[in-house]
Amino acid sequence: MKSRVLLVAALLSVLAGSVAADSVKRGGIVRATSNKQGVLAKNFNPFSAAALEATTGCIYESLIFFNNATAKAEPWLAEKWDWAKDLKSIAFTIRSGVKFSDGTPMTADDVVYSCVVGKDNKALDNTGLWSEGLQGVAASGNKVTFTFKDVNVTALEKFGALYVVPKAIWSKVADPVNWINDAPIGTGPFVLDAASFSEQAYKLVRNPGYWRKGSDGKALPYIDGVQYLVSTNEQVGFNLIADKYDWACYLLPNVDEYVKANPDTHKYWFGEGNLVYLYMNNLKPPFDNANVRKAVAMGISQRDIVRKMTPSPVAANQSALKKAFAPLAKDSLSKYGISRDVDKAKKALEAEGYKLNSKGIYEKNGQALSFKVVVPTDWTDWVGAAETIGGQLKEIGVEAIVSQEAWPDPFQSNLELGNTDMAFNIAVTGSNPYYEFNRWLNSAGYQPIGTKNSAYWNMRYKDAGIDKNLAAYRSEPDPAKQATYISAVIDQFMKDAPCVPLFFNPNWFEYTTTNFVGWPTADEPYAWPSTSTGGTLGMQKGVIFLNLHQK
Amino acid sequence: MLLFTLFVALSLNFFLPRLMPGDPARALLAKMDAIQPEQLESIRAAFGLDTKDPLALQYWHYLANTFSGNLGVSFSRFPMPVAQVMRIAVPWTLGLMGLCTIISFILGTLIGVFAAWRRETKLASFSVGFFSFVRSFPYFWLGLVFVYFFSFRLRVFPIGGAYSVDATRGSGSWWLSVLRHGALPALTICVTSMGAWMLTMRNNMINVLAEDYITVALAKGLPLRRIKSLYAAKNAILPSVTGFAMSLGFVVGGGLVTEMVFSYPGVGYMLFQAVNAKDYPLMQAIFLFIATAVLIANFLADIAIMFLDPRVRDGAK
Repeated sequence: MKSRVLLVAALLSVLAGSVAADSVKRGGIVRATSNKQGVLAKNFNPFSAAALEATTGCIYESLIFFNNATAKAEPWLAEKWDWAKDLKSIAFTIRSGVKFSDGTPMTADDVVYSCVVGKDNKALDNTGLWSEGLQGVAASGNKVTFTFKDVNVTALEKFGALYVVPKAIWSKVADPVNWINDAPIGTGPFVLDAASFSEQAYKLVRNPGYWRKGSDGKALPYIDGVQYLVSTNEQVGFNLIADKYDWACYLLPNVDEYVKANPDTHKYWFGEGNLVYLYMNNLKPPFDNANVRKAVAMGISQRDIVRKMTPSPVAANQSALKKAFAPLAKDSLSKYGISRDVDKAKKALEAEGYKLNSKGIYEKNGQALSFKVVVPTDWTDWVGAAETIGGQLKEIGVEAIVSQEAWPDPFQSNLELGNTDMAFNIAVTGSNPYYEFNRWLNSAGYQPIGTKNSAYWNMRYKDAGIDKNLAAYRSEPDPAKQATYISAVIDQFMKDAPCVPLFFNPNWFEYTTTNFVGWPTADEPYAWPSTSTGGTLGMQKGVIFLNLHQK
Repeated sequence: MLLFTLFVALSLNFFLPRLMPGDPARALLAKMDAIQPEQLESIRAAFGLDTKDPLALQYWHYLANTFSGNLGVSFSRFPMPVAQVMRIAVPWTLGLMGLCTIISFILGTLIGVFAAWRRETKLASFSVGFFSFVRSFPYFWLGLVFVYFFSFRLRVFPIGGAYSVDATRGSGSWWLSVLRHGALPALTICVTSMGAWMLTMRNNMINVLAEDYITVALAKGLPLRRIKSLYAAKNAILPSVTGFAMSLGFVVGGGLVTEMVFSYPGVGYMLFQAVNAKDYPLMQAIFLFIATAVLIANFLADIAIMFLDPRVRDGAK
């Protein structure tokens, strides 16, 4: 019962935001940049990876809202959920009174249908639930129960990517994979204004029958609609400064110029996205030696690297955690934290038997510590950062020569086969540390050199203790106990230092309060400002549009 | 011959993109950055990339489909048929690039004729210097300068796009917005490409004017205008016509950079995105379109030259 009260409170806090009951000004069309460039093509199919951004969050909604900024699950189309005692099944109570935009009520059957379509057709399993061990879905009354093969409480997040479609319409579609669904019917706060669709823009207008009410007691959303516009890297700065966009999702190198044009209303929040790290091949000498890896880490100053980048991303530390999760690594950081220390790095290498050669590079048995740092061709921000690292490592007697390889291949295939010594690489951070470390360190993806590993976040590092703690996390419903398991993973990770975490790729989010207020901020991260269509990210924009209202 | 060339182009179209490193599903994944890796498999299945057919069979299917008019489904704009994507983009490119190429060819050639005929005047010398200068501007640089001054600073032209998204399509104000949006890109293309036509024409014209038959014509006392247009210009234009045909063919793909700067929804920019997204079907269709356009334009140029040049005509007899 208590958890239910908490859930309701959480839900209210999502919607309340900073809106005071009597001060909400309704109306207005929010202008946002599309995540597509060039020619827009109609595609409102929530099962399609190439669907337009408005498909998810605006038109179709998911069973729960998984906030990617805080990693918290909140009720949405499902009012609540309960894990069975054995943690092998989860039952969702479907909210009553929710209607699709054609007036028909949404039922448990629709939820079951939206999940089951992915069972036989891999192309429709965009939650990944079926490949994660889902065995069956069944509806009974207003409850839908999902049964899994193994215990895995982290599967909850995936229901934030389960977008509910009306069975009555979709079951008649002959080829749902290739259907562009140009007259989408969903439960979301907006409906498509079909007449507005062109190759450059399209508009959504409010769904008058939307199920959720605002703080003024009337149906949400407060705004009349959203217009998505295509843009380009060249265009976006001009348009932002001229107040032509309310929300843009582009890299803006001169973001200060944008703010300067109107400091009161021009804002941005470049949140921490995926982790960029210095990859070292843990199966190849000399990086099979943890002390050498740590010496390299001691040679690097993340702060100096990001300072030279425009705009500066958030620097990472050896724990690889985003700021929001820093408490999880508090103890480990004091034990194994590494900061730049040239003398210490040199001593560490000398302790391993390395001696400076005539070129000022450390050498052992004729093997100099000289490597290529591989970065994808023309990823200029990474190339710049790699050059900074080259300069920093030179001071500790390690030669790191920046070398560019075409992306995705051969860059990616060399990493996957284990041919690369040192490179820049990305770890998908997902919404929480479990997601990040499970993808990155779980030995299920481990392969010897020469065998392709399935994914691109494997450093050829594994540890039985880490596997054990990740497994324990999966079968532990109590967040406090989960935290101890993930802290143990981080501790081992930092002790072994298989790589050097560098910085977090920024999530590009520029917005203006000239016309609308209620945006998510670093201090009030009620949603993660993403324009992605897929996964739990798809829902974020819908929640943001529900919070926005005119100034 | 035409058909054979087309067949070779078709085959290259199939194999070249596949030789390009990279995986379309992953390219889409990277673009969306934070998409869950679980989705990779579902994307590959949807694109039909998990096919076990040998390459030769895929090639056969591709040929059969192309000849029956089925260009396939675009990856980057999945699941829209490629033909439909092309239908959206082609009119914008033909309208903007096609018109600009014709205008800059006609204007450039006329100025070239003048600059050669009156090459002793100050204006003619100035025009040579001026056009050599503007010709060397990179498209995108001039485009950005124009956007900065005319759209951003002075706000007399829109910043980008092909039309006003708030006007009703097909209405008078919409057509007006098309012209307003097209003005800066058109100016960019004309200014930078006119110079080449002008200089080519002027140089050819000067060579022709030195020919004996011009001297004879002058000695016979023929009207100067007749000598200029029918004796000199008609012969001098021959090399330009072939060049013009080529550039008409390349109009389709050539607007890439301009379209990027102005966020213009045309074929060139679409090609750029298709390459980035490893969108094989879309790339194939665009290359096929360019190849066909170049072939047809060359064919038409050959015919035009037959009319303009009696030597070609008589030689054929």
